Amino acid sequence: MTRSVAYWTLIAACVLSTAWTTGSFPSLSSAFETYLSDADSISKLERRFGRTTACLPAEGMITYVPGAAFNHDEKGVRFRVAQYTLAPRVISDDRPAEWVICDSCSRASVQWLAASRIVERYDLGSGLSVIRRDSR
Amino acid sequence: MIAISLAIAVGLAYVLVLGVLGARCGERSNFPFRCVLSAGLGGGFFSLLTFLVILLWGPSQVVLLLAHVAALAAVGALWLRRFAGVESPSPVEFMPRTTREDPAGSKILLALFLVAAFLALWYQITVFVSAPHGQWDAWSIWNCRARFIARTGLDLRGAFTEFLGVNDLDYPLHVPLLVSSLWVQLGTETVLVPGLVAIGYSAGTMAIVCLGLAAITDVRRALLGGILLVTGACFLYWGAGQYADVPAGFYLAASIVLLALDDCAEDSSTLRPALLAGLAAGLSAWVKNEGMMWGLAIGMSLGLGAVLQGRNTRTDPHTGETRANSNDDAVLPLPEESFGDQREPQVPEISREGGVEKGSFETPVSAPHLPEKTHACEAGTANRGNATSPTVGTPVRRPAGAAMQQKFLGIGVWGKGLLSRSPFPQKLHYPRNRFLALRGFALGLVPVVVVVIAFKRCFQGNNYLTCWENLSLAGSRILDSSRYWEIGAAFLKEPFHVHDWGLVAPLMILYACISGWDCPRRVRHGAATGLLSVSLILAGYFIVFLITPFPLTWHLETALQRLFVQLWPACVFLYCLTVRLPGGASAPQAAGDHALAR
Repeated sequence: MTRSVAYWTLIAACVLSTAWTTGSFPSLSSAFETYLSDADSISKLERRFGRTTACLPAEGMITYVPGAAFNHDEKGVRFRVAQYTLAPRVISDDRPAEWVICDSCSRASVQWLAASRIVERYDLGSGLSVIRRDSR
Repeated sequence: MIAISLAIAVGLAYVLVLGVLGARCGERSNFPFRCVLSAGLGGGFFSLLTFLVILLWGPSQVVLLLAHVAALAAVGALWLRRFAGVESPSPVEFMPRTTREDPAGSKILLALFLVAAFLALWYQITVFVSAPHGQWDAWSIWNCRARFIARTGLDLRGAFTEFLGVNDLDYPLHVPLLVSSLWVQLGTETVLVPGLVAIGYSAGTMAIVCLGLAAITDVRRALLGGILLVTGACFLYWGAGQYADVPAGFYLAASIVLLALDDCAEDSSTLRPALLAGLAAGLSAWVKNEGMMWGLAIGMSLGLGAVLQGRNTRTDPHTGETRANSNDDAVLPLPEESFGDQREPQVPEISREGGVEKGSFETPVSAPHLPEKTHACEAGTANRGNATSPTVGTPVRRPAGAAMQQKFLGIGVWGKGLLSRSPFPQKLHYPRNRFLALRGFALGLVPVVVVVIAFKRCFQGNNYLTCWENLSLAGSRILDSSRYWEIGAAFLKEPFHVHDWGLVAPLMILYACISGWDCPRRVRHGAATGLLSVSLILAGYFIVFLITPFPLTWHLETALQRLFVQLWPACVFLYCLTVRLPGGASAPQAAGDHALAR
């Protein structure tokens, strides 16, 4: 009898726990709104970096330079989303390449970029710009 | 062509599963189990073959298709060999059904299971649509690599350049290859593909646990397993978040389930469930690096079981065959009298001493006048026919009519022996040889691991854990006692984080304390192997955290929960296999009744 009560209590508690978990999450309708409008954080950043694809070569290495205002975590997320968006281009944050994406930063704020000769420059708005420098 | 290749890979897996389990899983009710297992293994085969084709011939879809057709032909030949009798199939039917259930209770349980499953699906869809690119690892590692592969027309080189500013170059390719192949087939990089793959693996994991329990024990344990599995909320969350930990957990759970099934097998064939378990464990290494450790842990557990069994067996001086000392593996012998003298067979008297039953079936019995050929089928039948004796945990009385039945079985053996006229002595006893399971497991594991090693040799950057710089510093970390305390405390606390796991861990412990344990005797080896494997894997994780080059607290916070998610399905399976349920018959009892009824 005790075992039977314990068994059914276990089952009921587990189902209630699952229901509580489901209920504690944002509702499905609001989640669908986010999904349909691409309003999640990764989609927003993906759209942002997606604008650079028209300026960049189809492959090769690109240097990503984040703004100084971003904290460490935000820099990491933006760098990774840039890689995710721009694959198969290889994004580096520490190797100066011919093509550079400046994300909310000025050319003058980066020493090696300030010293480079600029060949092309595309200002894409919202603090995003693509620079082609003379890498010779 | 990719879709056809994928379909062939799943078909190939089904043929293999049918070839191995077919003789045992003859019941139509086990069809879903075979399908789920085949879908999982098929997905793994597809990505493995795709990788090999790209590695050897480059990204050619025609070669990919031809490779799948060739693999299907090879496995088909194996299947034919199995059923043409070249390699004798086992007629053992080892999936009893418990029928002593309260119908009303069963309906309520089924209804609650369906409610839990629906809530779990709802939750997973909600998590997916709120973050369609997946959580951090999903988009930054798995889907990012899938984009690399898909955008270069299934070329792998771009995804493994040393200049890539990430340190996960040695991560295996199962998920990226599967997703990128589907993207190439569809011609669009929709986020629905990785989302559906992720939710599919979550559902498949639930199915493999439930159907595995249903196949080995009974429906009540299966439904309990499903409910417990989805109560672990972070399993659902990481599953819908497209982390590879859930697909890896699927293969680990499949491996543990198949080892339990292998424990029920009584033939010495190479094509046994352990082979599929090895394949599944190998595929887990193709999903995540942890899988390499899992294969090793399961292999060590099987090896330990083999060594222990070797110590518990002895050789019969008359026949030269190996017998179990304990009655754990014993098969009730067919009394000699029933063959020769046609007298009433002796009924084994069973008594319990110190918790271990002893009976006349421990006594070696030889029947040198009976032929070898009969033993496989009939000894197994005799075992089931007398399952009331050796397989039940409490002393039992022999049911009326059982003596007559045993006599009948004995005559059957004798008659077959006369017909076959084999010169070899009959072996009435079949000690279950764990070495055979270990051999089967290794046969399944090794080919997949060879491919994984080939991948790592060809493309790998340095693994942060096994690189020389880390290993040279590991000594000082091992000597730091504070790390032991921190890791141990994190391990103990993790399952009790209510926000992540719900109340499932305390509920399970509380129920087990009240109810106790009742593992079906026929799968005790499999359950013990599974428990030992999980323990070894946990020990392995402990060591990894001990020598990790990352800040320990950060590493525990970011990785431990997902490691537990990997083990969660296997743990639920083992829990439901071993915990005592109220009322009803346990599986061995049911097995005995089932056999007697037949």
